Amino acid sequence: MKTVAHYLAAMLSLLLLAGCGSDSQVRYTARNVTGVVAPLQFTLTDEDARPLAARDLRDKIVLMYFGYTHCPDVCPATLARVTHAFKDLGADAGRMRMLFVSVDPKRDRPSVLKAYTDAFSPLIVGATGTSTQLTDMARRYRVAYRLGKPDANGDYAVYHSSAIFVFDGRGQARLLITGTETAPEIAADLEKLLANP
Amino acid sequence: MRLPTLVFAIMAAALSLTVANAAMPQQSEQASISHAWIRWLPGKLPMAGYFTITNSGSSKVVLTGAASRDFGKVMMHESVNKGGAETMRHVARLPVPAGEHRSFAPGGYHLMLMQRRHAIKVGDTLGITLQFADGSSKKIEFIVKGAAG
Repeated sequence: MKTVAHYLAAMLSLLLLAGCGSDSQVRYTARNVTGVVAPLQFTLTDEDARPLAARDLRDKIVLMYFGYTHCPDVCPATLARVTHAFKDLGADAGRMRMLFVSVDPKRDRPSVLKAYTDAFSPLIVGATGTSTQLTDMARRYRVAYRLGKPDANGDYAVYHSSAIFVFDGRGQARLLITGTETAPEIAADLEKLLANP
Repeated sequence: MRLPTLVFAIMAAALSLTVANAAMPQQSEQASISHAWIRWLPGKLPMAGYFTITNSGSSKVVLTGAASRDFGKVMMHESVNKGGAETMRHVARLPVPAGEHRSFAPGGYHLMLMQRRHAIKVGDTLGITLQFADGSSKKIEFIVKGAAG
């Protein structure tokens, strides 16, 4: 219960503080979380099996999403929307990266992650980590994930957050895309972010 | 005299029931399927199949499952978002009332296509048989689209 209360308190402060950042005049479709969500910070292993940290994505607008590749519906639909938003942005998309953080490192080896993200866009980078690294990240961004019970074939679903966190080129959290935004709305928000760095 | 009358009545009732059954269309005939597609994913990852089912008949149809020669296992699933977290639940029966339609679309109902039995590429068409509560079934050709749809 205490955890739930903490979570609710965090959500409430998120709602109250949203829009109080430096660019409070700018209207975004996504939720403005400037100054509310922790800055971009992580240590993971990327889809080429190399270490990946926040500083490697410096100067890029980073869209961070927690998912897993054995998710056939919501994760691909989310990656597809971001892929279409990147296409809408044309050359400006080069200033963006999407970080697909797999919370299922057991099945999502780097090669699996690479094939998965490459099916969408070269601007989407897959990464995963040890359970400690992932737990630290989940705590930092207040997201929950849990592996489901395996069936007779050993297949299991993963309960995961549906939000996309957007960080600016300095690694500051700016927007929270909650899942209902369309590709054109995401593209328009990212253009605004580029104009209001 | 009473017994033959009763027998006749039973026979007549049985006959009318048979006629009624024959007139009652199979659920697979009442249901029409459109926009059937699969989102391609690489390797052996499970994929999702989507379509719209429209019941143009005068009675309810109930979708109970699906099967395909191209996959070891096909399940009806629904993605559910609870307080910002995504999860999936198995759907055993999906009723479609007369005159209504149900969409299998990203973020909601979908067929989860597991254990592909051969390599599949974008542009392929794969047959998936939809099964109904009355035991009837209908084979639908699904087109495989790219990951980004």
